[in-house]
Amino acid sequence: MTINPADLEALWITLKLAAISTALLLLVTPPLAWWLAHSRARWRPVVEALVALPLILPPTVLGFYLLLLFSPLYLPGQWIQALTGTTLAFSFSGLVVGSMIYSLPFVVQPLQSSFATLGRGELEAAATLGMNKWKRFHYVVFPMTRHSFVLAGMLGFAHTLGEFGVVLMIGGNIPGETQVIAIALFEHVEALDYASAHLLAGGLLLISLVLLLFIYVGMDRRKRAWGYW
Amino acid sequence: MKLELTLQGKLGEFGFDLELSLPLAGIVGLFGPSGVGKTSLFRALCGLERELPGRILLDGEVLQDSATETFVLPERRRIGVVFQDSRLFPHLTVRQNLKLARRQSMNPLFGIEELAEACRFTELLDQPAPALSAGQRQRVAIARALAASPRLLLLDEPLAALDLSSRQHLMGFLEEVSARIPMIFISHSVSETLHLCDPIITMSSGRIERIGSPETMGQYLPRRRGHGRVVRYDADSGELVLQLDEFAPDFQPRQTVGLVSDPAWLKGRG
Repeated sequence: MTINPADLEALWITLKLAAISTALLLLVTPPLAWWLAHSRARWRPVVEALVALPLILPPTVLGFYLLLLFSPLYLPGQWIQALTGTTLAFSFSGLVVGSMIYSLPFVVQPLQSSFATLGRGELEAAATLGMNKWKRFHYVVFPMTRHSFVLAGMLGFAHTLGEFGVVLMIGGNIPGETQVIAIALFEHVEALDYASAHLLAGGLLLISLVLLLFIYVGMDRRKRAWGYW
Repeated sequence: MKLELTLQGKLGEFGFDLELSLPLAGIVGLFGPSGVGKTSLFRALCGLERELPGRILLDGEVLQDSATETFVLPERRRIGVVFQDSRLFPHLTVRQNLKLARRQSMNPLFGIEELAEACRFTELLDQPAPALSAGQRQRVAIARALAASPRLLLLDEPLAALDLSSRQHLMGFLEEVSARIPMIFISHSVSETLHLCDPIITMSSGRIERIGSPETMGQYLPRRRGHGRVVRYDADSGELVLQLDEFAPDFQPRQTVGLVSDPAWLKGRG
């Protein structure tokens, strides 16, 4: 049993999409997670709810609104087109934007809870030693919470791997461009090609299980070493 | 170096009315019971407390002025702090803690080995910070604050977790360093304050009560605990004659006092 070239391409696009979305999320979301962990603003719960929305919202709903947002028929889509010369709908870049929103809570929440438990004491000490906020983040916050960056990255990556509804709505199913592995699997099942479907489903199952094992073994080790996660 | 400050306002329900103008040289003592605002004053001085309105000038430089909305960030004040709870970076070794602090200074005054030797923890340099005892952590915290070469050092009960021998050694070291870096020192120990500090400031509920030399302030500091040597003791009559130290409280006839034989807090004292 061998994997066909189209499926291999779908696997490559899936991994590429998950890697790029996760990397961008890890770069962009720490300030948001920090703000959610420490802000006393009245409208913080509103932002928190918006960030958590993809957890419960059907992916097709999110995909539908993103499709409208990317469409050149409406203002945001027109701006994007004027700015980039292309539309985000049915493109890999559009998938990246959609995946980032779809996986946002999976990256923000571990960071937020880790930032919330980080004591202010060490940060105050760092400030009185002469470290500005970037140095405090680099030398104190990041090393003390790096486990949560690993966890957030893994959760974001694993969640993006299984993406289906959002991708189908905003990316369509263009082989070599927006066809991800979950959609290729769906096509095989529809065509009653169960052998290929098993190969993709089994592969996804294995990757997801290995990622989760990595997360839980890591958490367990940290718990043993530090007494907390 | 001169410190001038006027801080008036409230932190939560606690009111402050602080006015102070004094030259900083050597070690200035800050004495007062718990909860009178000593730590809040420290926090305002080093820039960790923004909510207390007023004006702070150090050597003519405005660090805070609520009237003109001036507030210099703590990282720009170059005022070091040794906190009560040491606050070492737990993900680093002792050496890395000191190195990181030293790297923040353009002209470091001390080397890492030099500080480790002076504070007596050379053998701990490569230990992870969480592996240290409370006393060891406090010694490292003092060295780390000095490694950053601040222009003023604030010490908030830095010797509380130390045994008597380390305390006496560090008192000597701080006294020596204070010739180069002026310090303000909070302690609940009367003997520590009287031995180490000049002048001494006493505080009570958000206000400066008095400022003066140890000689004049000695009478205002509470003397609750002293030690003495037995000069004569008669087991049959129960009569005990003691030679008390200079910090011992004044006693009245018929007053009841407690006695502890060879107390732990005097361990090591000759």
